[in-house]
Formats: sequence, C-alpha cells, structure tokens
Amino acid sequence: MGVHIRAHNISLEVPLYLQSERSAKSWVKTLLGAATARPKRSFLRVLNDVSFDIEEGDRLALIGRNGAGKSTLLRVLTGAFAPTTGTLDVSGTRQALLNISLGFNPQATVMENIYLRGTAMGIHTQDLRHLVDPILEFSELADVAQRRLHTLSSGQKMRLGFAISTSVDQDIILLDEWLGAGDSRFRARAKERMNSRVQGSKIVVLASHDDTLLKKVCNKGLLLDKGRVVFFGPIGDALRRYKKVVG
Amino acid sequence: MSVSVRTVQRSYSATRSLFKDVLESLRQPEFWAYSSWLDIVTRYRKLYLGMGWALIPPFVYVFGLGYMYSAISGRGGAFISHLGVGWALWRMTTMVINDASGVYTKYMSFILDGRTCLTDYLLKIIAKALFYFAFAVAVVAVALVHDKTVHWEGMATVLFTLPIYMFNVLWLAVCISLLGARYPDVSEFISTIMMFGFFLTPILWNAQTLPAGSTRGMIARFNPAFHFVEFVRAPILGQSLESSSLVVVAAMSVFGWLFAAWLYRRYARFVPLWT
Repeated sequence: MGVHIRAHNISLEVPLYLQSERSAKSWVKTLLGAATARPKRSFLRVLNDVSFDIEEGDRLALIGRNGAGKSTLLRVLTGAFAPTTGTLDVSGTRQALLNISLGFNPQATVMENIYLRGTAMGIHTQDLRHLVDPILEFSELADVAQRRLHTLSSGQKMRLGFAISTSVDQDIILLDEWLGAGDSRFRARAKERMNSRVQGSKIVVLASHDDTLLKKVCNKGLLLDKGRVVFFGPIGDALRRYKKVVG
Repeated sequence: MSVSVRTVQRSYSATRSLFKDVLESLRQPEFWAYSSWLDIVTRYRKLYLGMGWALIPPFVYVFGLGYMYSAISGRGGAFISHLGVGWALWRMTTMVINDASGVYTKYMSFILDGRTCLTDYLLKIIAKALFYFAFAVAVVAVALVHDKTVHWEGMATVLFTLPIYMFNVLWLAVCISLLGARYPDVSEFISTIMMFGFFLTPILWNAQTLPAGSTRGMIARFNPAFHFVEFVRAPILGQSLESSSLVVVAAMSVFGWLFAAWLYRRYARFVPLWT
C-alpha cells in the first residue's frame, strides 16, 4: 500500500471559552468583573468541509491568511485532532515538525533528553543508540552531552530539538513554517538537512507564507480561507488565487 | 548519516478503544517507562540524600505515626502493620488520582505531536506511583517482620489481590483523567476529598470499631476505598474480610471498567481539543 493522505469532507469544531463583554465604568468594576464573570463555552467551526487527496511524491503547500486554519489542519493530519465530521485516511509513518523545542525534561541531561524525545517519536531504544552520536554531532552539543538541559541556551535547545526531530526519514513530514534554528553556521546546515529530509520523504505538507519557498518545494497548493478550501491544485495557480484573495 | 530506523506505527482511528490502547501501551512501553523513570531520577538528582528521600516519608508515616497511634488505638505493634499497609495503598492511589486529573494538560506537547495513545500517559503516572509504592512496601515489610500477628500464609493472596487493586486504579485513572481534561475543577475537587477520604478509610482506625450494622458503619462502607483497602490488607493481617467487601470489589471491577471503556471510546478523541 502506497503512502497517501485522503481527506474527505473534514470539519472540525473546537470549544472556546469567551469572557462576556462588559462596559467598564471604573477600574474597580473592571477588576471585580474579571474575577466574577464566568466564561461562556461555545463552539467554533475552524475547518469546514475540507477535502483533498495527495499521493506519494506530492508536496502540498497550505496557503492562507493567519487564522485560516492551516495549523489546525496540520494538527488534524498529525492525528491529534479528530475531525468532528468527515474521514481522514493516512497511510505511512508521520513526523510532525510543529513544535520541535517542546517536550524536553529540563532537569535531565542532554543525552537523556535525546532518549526521551526519541522514544516519544516511536524510535526503539536499540535504534536510538546509533542515533545519539549523529544527533550530538549535528547539533554540535557533544561537549555538553552530560549537562542538564536547563543549563543550555535557548539556541542550543532549538538545535537539539531540530537535530532530534529530523534524525530519521519519515514517509510523511508535516511542517508549520520551514524550520531553521540557531546561528548562521547552524542555519546553513539545518537548511541542508531539511532539504535532504524533504527529498527523503514521500509526502510533505508545508504551511508557510513564503512564496518562493513554496514554489521551490511544493507541487500542489491548498488555499484555505476561514476554514474552507478555496482552491486545490497546482502550486502556481494556488499562489495566484491567494494573491487575488489577499488583494 | 544513514541509519535505518524502524519507528513504531501507532494505530490511527478517530474513536479509540480503551482495551486496544492499554494493550498497545503495554506492548510499547519504551516511551512511558523511560519518561516516568526520568521524572523520578531527575527529581532526586539534586538532593544530597538522593533516593534516600523516597524511603523517608514511608518511614515517618509508618513508624512515626504508627508509634503514636498504636498507643491511641490500644492495639500495640499490630497497629503499625495495619497502618503501614493501608497508608502505602492509600498513598499510591492518591498519587495516581492527583496526577491523573491534570495528566493530559501536562503532556499536551506530546499529544499534539500525534502521540494520541492516551493510556501511555496513564501508565506513566501509574508506573511512577508504583515506584514509590515499592519503597513504601520495603518499609512496611520491616514492620510486618516484627509483627507476630501477621499471617504469612495470607501473604500469597497479595499476588491475587494487588493486581485486582491496580486493575481498578487504572479504570479510575482513565475516568478522572478524562473528566479532568474537560473540567479543570476536578483537580480541585480531588484535593478536597482526598484528606476526607483518608480519615473515612480504615487506615488510622479499624473496620471492626464501626460494625456493618451501625449507622456509622454503614456510612463508612459507602466509601469504596474502605472495601479495597480491606480487600488487600485483611488476609495479610489475618482478619476476616466482610463478604460485602468482596461484592463491592467485584462489582467495581466490572462496572468501573465498563464505564471507563465507554467514557474513553466516547470522549478520548476530544482530549486534544479540550486542553
């Protein structure tokens, strides 16, 4: 069975908590109001009747304005959000590169965090043993491997997160904006790594606002507006439609 | 770098089955077992006494509190083992329940990345609680060895009663974790009732002092923890187990699991959206 993503009429409703609007007459009332007002729970339809099919070899660009539903759709594709209605059929191993610096244990060493994140990605520990050195080498953190993670700078942590998340080839890569991390030297290497991962994967879904990048990487585009699919087709046409929508 | 890596392919479906997920988590323990172990290890790493601190609370409770209350209860040394076993079970359960109420919020970054097998996180908190339980058991064992009233032949029942106890802790954790994900009030509620529950459960007192026929005895027996603690402890200490306790444990094992399975099937898919 080949690698594919098939989305049919996917809709997603998410619960939201809204504070009721109040006219604030004095600051005392504002403070008291904030303490006593109970939030109202309501539902918002973030994705509406989204359908598309992509097959092995496709690189799909998610295009749309902020809040159009791109990141939410990525969360649906990772399997985190189950669609309220509609069906999603995903075949192949998936790796979401959405929040690469989350999920660390700050009190554990760099080495231990590689194991933690690696097992979270579903890599078996015996395979991980062979990955530890390449990860340390790539992130240039071999010297500090036995240090606790919280003693590292945020740039170093980003590098580590990037190196772990991109350490293995996956069938499907889900990206929210192109990943780049660290200083200029590392960024060049990260770019190279990303290119090779994108080439090594069978399907890429990339949400981005960078036209040149999308044109370079993707062959198809899915234009979203307020949770609906406005256009799905070749990347050039999708970007042209987007320009029209934005105006 | 060219290392061929097999990654675990998790099943994907919108509605999740509790039994399938529990089995899947048990088959793939690497993530939850390792992260649970890491939580424990890193906690003690900064401390001068290290893991010695895991032994100190059971020691203080079992022997410190036990020493004082053995005089108050008038039962002498036997009370220390009574308190020890009860307290160890109670603390393990409390830890699981407390952790369960906020577990999905805590591990949301993993869940949003697609690790949606929620039982992984539940087994993680249960593994942690069992680790502390093992330390408590070591301390309680010292008390049991010095207690002449202990029925060592009754000890074999633990092989049977403790797994059933844990089986029930798991369904309870499923329910509380799901409710806690939807209603953050759950964690406040739990911290409120836990202290209350401790005093309502025969840990500092004896079940026999409130016989089943009396009004107070009936009130105390409305507390399911009463029956579960008795279920594990009574055979060890050579006390008779009320048949009502057996009925409650059996009924809870069945209906608790059915309820948890229904709740999980219906609501597990919403957890990433709720938190």
